[in-house]
Amino acid sequence: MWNEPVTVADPAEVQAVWRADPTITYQRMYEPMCRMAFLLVDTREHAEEVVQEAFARALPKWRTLDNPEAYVRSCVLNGCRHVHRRRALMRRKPAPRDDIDTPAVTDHVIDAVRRLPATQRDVVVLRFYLQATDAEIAETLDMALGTVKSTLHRAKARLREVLQ
Amino acid sequence: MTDNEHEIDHLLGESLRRRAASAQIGGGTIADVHRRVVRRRRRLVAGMATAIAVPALIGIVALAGKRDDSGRVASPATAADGDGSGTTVPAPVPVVRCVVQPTVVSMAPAPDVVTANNELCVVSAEGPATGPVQVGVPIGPGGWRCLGTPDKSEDGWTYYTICEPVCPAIDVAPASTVVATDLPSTTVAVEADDAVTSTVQPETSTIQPEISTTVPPVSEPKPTVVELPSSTTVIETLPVPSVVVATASGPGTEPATACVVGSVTAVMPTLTTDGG
Repeated sequence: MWNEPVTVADPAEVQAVWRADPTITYQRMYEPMCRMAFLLVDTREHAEEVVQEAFARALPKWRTLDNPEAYVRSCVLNGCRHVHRRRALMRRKPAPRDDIDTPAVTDHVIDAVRRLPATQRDVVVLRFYLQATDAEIAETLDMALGTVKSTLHRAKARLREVLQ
Repeated sequence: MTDNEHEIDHLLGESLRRRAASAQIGGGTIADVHRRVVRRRRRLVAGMATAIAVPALIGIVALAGKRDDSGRVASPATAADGDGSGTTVPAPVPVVRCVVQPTVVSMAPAPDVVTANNELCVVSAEGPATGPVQVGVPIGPGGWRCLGTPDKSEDGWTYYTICEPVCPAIDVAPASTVVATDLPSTTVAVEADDAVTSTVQPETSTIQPEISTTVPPVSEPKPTVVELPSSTTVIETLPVPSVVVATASGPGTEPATACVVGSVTAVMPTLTTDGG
């Protein structure tokens, strides 16, 4: 009958079905993306705003995207950079900032990651939080594979230097 | 990969996971995303409509202004203007030239006796006091198109640099200007007669011919009768369309020329003659 559940055995086909349905992808990606954005922008509100906006950008052209997940990840990273740019503008006019979710205990590692350049910071978060491969990072950040490796290498060297 | 590198990787992973886990992520749903999409689409449509409407509006306004400017020919201030502010004279729509050699220096008002269908374009005359003068006669709805600085004289006439008749009824391409000398024409020279004098406003070198024309049927070309001041009658059969140039001369005036397009009969009774 037509209302019988469709069983799909091939994992690649399962992934294709997931990708074809934006709702499934949203449910699967929303929280990890929010947490990744939180690592980059430090506030939950900004993180959720960035992720929602990324999905809003991707949704109208969902069918035409080759890899919607990579597109959403790129949009999230670009949105986080946009937040950083806005903050940099606001820092020119210093104002009390109470919107940062400052942890009770200062994490020196997170502080060191925040001080990295934007590209290195994105690469580190994608690699060590999302456990993304070099190829996935290259696709997300629109970089060459060698550039990803070298950027990651420089970021780790800098972090090692700071943390030691 | 050394132990130090493993340690850095582990440290980074743990720190990032711990920090990310501390965030209380709210329950944003896909419906929120759909609402955002609708809002984005509305903003996009509004932006596109604005981007299209504003230049279109500016273009329409500019076009309207340009048309308004082309409908008026500004002339510099003349002595008759008084305040020196200059005047604007309305210019007609693009014209088709019927008779060229636009060396008209003066234009008289249109006589009322010109019948509707006549195609008389120009009556030209030369007066004793001034150079060649052509008197314009409006043709149908077109009238005259004059260029140059309007100079209103004391005698009541307005003088222009160039005037040319507008003959919209004649299908002549604007580019191909018809020169009177190229058209079949007949020049009738009238012998000077001392007994005949002309009263064609010698001061202003303009004449006010009251011209009545009768248009014979096109299928039957009939002789054209031109009554000139010297009481000379010219009978000429013209093809249609054609141009007749009738020239009259007398002791008090220089030869007068009538240019007629079409098979018409032109009578100029107001070129009055005085005996002796």
